[in-house]
Parts: sequence; C-alpha cells; structure tokens
Amino acid sequence: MNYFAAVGNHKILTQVEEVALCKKIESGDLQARDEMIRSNLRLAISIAKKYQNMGVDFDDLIQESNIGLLKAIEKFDYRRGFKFSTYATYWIKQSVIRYLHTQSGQLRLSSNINNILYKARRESKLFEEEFGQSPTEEELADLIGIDVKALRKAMSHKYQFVSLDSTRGGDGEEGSRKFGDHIPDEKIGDIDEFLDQEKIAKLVRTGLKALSEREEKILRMRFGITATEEERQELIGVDPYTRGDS
Amino acid sequence: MMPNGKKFKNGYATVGSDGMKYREIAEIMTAEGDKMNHSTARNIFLSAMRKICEPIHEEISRSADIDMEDIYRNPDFQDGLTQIITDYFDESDINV
Repeated sequence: MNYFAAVGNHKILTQVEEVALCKKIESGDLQARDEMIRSNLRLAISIAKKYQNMGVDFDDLIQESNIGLLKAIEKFDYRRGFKFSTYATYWIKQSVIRYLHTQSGQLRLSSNINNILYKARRESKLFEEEFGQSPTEEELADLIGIDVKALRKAMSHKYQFVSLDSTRGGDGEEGSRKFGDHIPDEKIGDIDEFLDQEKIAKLVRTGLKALSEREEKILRMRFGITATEEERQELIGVDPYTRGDS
Repeated sequence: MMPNGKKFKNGYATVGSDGMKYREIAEIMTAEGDKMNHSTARNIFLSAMRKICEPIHEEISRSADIDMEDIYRNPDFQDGLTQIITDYFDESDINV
C-alpha cells in the first residue's frame, strides 16, 4: 500500500479524542503519540501540497511537513481549548517554508529576510488582485506589519538569478545573443575615448559602403529600417503606383 | 535611440518592435529566392557588423590593443551605431 493510501486510512480525530490522546502523551504513552501523528499526516500532506512546484521534491516537502507536525505534537497544550489542527498548521507551515528557503535560492538569506520577502510577494499579489495596481512601499510595509526601512532592507536582497548562457530576446531561438554577450567589456572602456563621434560616424559609413546587397538587406531587416520600394517612394514623396506612368 | 524609439542601454540594440528575428529574415529571403535558414541569416548579419566595424577597429588599434569583436559587442557602441546606420540608410533611401 502506498504512503498516501495508508495515510488516508486513519480517521480524523474529534476534539474530545485529541484531548484524551494528549493526556496519554503527557504521561509518556508512545502509542498515543503515534496515533496522534498518524491521524494528522493528512493535514501535513495537504499543507505540503500548497508548496509544490517551487523547485523542491514533493517527498521532501512531506518530510519537512511531518517534522513540523512532530514539533507541534511536542508543544501542543490541549488545556488552551484549541483544536490540534489549528495549532499544528502554524508549525507545519513554518517547517516547510524554512526548508524551502534553504533549498530554493542560490543565495542563502536569513530566515527572517526570506519570511518578509515571502509575505511581500503574497501581499503584493493580493493587493494587485483587489485594487488592480501594485502597493506602494508604505502600503506593503503596513500590510506585512513591519516598517518601511525593514521592508527596503529585505527587498534589497531580492535578486533574480539568470544564467549568462541563457538567451534573451528572439524567444530563445538558435543564434540569439546570450546574456553574457550583453555585458559591456570594462577593459575596452568608452570608444569615445579613442575617437570622436564625427569620426566614428565617418568610419561606420565607410564600413557600410563595403556591404554587399545581401548584407545590407539583412541588416535593414534586423534593424527594422525601411527598405521596400513602396516605403522608399513614400519617403521621397512619390506615389509608387503612379511613378512609372508619368 | 533605436529606430523605433526604444533604447536598450545594456542590450543588443538591433531588434526592436520593427526589427525582425533571424527566422523571419530567413523566411523573407527564402521567399524572395535567396534560400537560407536562420543561422545563415545571423551569419550574414554578423558579417555585415564586422565589415562596419573594421574601419573603426583599424583606427583604434593604432593607439590601443582591442579585439574587434569586443568593439561591436559593446552595447554602448551598438547603441550609437544604430543611429548612424539608420541615418545612413535613410539618406541613401532619399537619394535613390
């Protein structure tokens, strides 16, 4: 029997049953503890499911979720009158989120920073859904419950990593330039240091004269420069359809 | 500034909304009887870029040791080049 089917076989406890089990756990009954765990594995899976597709293996998420569940059982106080699932949800989520933070980023950030970034993303999304625009820094800080300075500090760590070998533009078509190709070479500095603008223009024009018809045609298309006969005629103010008749 | 009004400070300033992708260029050239694929279109484009850059490189290399490829791959250089090329073609179009 697979794990999910096995977990599904355990019934969900009522609050009275939970209290009874907790009392046994408190007195050191390991069987009662196991029963409590088994009865809440479904909750752990359902929370882990919410964090799927975040670049981490689902089995690992369930594992972390279960660790959170164990911690919740350890710390749960039935005397407060809450249902165990209410309390456990917090611990399970915390365990899964912490795990995600350590696994999904190329740069390890502190848990606190990650937490703020996570909340900022979530609150921004909700705000945009409701008001159709992004929240200001002040609004976002207010929604998260931190001051603007702390938000700015956390946001300064928000980087997107891209491979220098990934292509940009051209929908990744073969032959497209890579990100690395777009980074200026600091070694060569500014061309203006060597030549003035006028001279550059003159030299470029010399180079342009050396182009074959084929190269010019492709260069024009690539740069989006008018090239068709109709466009040329339009440019010099002659109707392309009547030119030959007159 | 790009021909279409866009400016790509750190990008490869050759394809804006008016500029075509290599595949599109290859399709047009093929339809006009010059059969080619997108790689060939790109090679021809790069060959043109090299030709444009040659006189500049010749001039610069008198005072500095710089690889030609480093020049035409420099985004600032490309940015300036776009305008010069556009002006050049506009003038030659008017003088047709």
